[in-house]
Amino acid sequence: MGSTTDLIGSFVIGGLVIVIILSLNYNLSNTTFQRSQDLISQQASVELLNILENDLYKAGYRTTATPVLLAESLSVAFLADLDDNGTIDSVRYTVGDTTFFLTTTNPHDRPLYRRLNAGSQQNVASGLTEFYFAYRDTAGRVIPYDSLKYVRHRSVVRLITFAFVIEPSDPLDSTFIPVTVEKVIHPKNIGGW
Amino acid sequence: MILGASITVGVMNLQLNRSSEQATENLVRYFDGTLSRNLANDAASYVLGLYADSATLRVQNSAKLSSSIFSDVGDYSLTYSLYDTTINIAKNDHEVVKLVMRAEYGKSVHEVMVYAGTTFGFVPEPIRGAITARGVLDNTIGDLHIDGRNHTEEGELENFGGVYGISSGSAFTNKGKAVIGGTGEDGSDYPASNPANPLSVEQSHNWSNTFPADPDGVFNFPGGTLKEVAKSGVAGSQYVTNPKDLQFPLKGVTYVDLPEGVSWKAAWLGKDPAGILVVHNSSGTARVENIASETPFKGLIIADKMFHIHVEVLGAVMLLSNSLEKKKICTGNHESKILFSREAIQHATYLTSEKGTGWRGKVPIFGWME
Repeated sequence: MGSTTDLIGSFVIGGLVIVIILSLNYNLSNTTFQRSQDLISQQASVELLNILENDLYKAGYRTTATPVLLAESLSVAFLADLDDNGTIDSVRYTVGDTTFFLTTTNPHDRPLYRRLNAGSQQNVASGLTEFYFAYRDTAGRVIPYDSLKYVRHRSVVRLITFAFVIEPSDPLDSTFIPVTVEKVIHPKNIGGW
Repeated sequence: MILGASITVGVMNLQLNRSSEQATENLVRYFDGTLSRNLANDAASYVLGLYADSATLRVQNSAKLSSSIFSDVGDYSLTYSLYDTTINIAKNDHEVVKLVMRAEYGKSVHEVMVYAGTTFGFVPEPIRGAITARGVLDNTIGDLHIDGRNHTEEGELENFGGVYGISSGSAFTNKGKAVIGGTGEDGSDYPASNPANPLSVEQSHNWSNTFPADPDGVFNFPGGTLKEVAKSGVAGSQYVTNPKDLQFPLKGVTYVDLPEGVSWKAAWLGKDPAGILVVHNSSGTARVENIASETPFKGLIIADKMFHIHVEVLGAVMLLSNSLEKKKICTGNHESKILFSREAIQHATYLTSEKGTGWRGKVPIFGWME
C-alpha cells in the first residue's frame, strides 16, 4: 500500500517538475524570441536613423537654389553636395507600399526608398510599418502639405521632422512589438544665404 | 532531465544576456555618434565666435581645443584647424576660411567642416528685393535700372545669392518703364529688361504683420538701436535732424531724422558714400527727393519715402511707408542703377552686428558639412 502511494506521489511530483520545466522552457523561449526581435527592430531603427540623419543634415549644402525640391508626407527630395566634391546631388526618399513585402509575416511592413541622383531607388529600411515627414518654418510652425507644392513655401522650410515605426518580421502571440522613433532635423544649410 | 533543463536554461540565459548587451551597445554607439556630432557642431560654433571677434584668427595645423570649454566631464577630445582656402559655388570661387572640427567621444568620431566668408556682416531678412517696399512702387521707381541679381561691391555680377528686382507688398505695374531684373524664388537669374520677366518681380507679398515698422525693425533690433549707433559716431556714423549738417563721406550709420512734414530735397550723398543711410521720423513720413551722389552709394538705404531716385546704389533700398508717391511719375532716371549687392550690404551691416547679434549675424556661412 505504502509503495503504491510512493509511486503515485513520485508520478505527481515528477509530472509537476516536468510541467514546471516545460513552462520555464516556454517562457524562456518566448523571452529569448522577444529579445531577439526587439534587438532586430532596434538595430533596424538605428541603421535607418543613421542613414536619414547623414543625408538630411546635409540638405542644401553648397546649393544656391531652394534646396527642398519635394516636401510631402511620404516623400522628400532635396539638393546637397553629399560628398563635398563640388557637384550637387539630389536625394529623394519615398515611402513604398505594403505590396513590396508580400512574403513577410508582418502585413504592414513597407520599404523606404532612397534614390541618389539618377540612380535606381533602393530600400533602406527593414521592418518599417509607419513613416511620415513633416516640415516647419523658422518659427517652428508646421507648414501644411498642400502649400508645399509651391516653391515659395518650400523655400521657408527650416526643420524637417520624420517619424517611423519599425516592427519585427514575426509576431509574438500575434502581436508585433514596435519601436517608435521621431526626430527633428535642422539642416544648417537651408535658408542660410 | 534536470541536467538537460539546466543546460537549456543556461544557454537561453546566455543568449538573453548577449542580446541585452548588443541592444545596449547599439544604443551606446548611437548615443556616442549623436554626442560627437553635437560636440563637433557646438565646438565649431564656439570657434566661429572667436573668428567673428578676430577676423585674423587662423590655425594652420590641427590643434587641440581645450575640453574644459564645454565640460571637464566625459571622455572626449576636440581638434580643429582654421585656414584660408576657396570654395566653388555655382561656378564662382569664393575666398573663405575653412574650419575643420573633429570631435571624438568614446569610440565615435565626427568631423564638421564649415566654410565661412571673410567679409563679415549680414543681409537682413526683410530685404527681399533690390528695392523692397510694402506700398505701391508704380510711381516711385520711374525708369530706373533695377537688378536684384547679386553683384560684388564693385558691381560685377555674381552667379548666385540674388533677390527679386522689386519686392512689393502691393500689386505692381511698371508705369515708368523701368528696366528690371533679379533672381526668382527658385534661384534662377533674370537679366534686367523692359518688360521685366515676371519672375524677377515679387508683388503683393503677404507680409502679414512682419513688415518692419521702423528702421530698427529691418534688423530686428530693439527700437532706438540704429539711432544710438549713429549718435555714438562709431566708424564715422552720424545723427542729424538737418541734412545740411551732414559730414562727408557718409559711412557707418547715417541717421537723418527729419522733422515731420519736411522733405530732404536735392539729397546729396557726396563722394564714396557707404554704410547704412536711414531717413526716417517717428511718424514714418520722412521723404527723400532727387537723391544723388558723385560715386555709387554702397550699402543699404532705408527711408520712409523716396522719389526722383538719381543715385546709383550697390546694395539695396528699403522703403518703409505704406503710402508712396501716387501722382507723379519720375522719368529721366534711367541712367541710375539699383544693383543688389550682398557684399556691400554685409560691409554696411558689419558695424551693427557689433551690437551683439553673435557670430551668426556677422560671419556669412557658405556651407556647413556635418
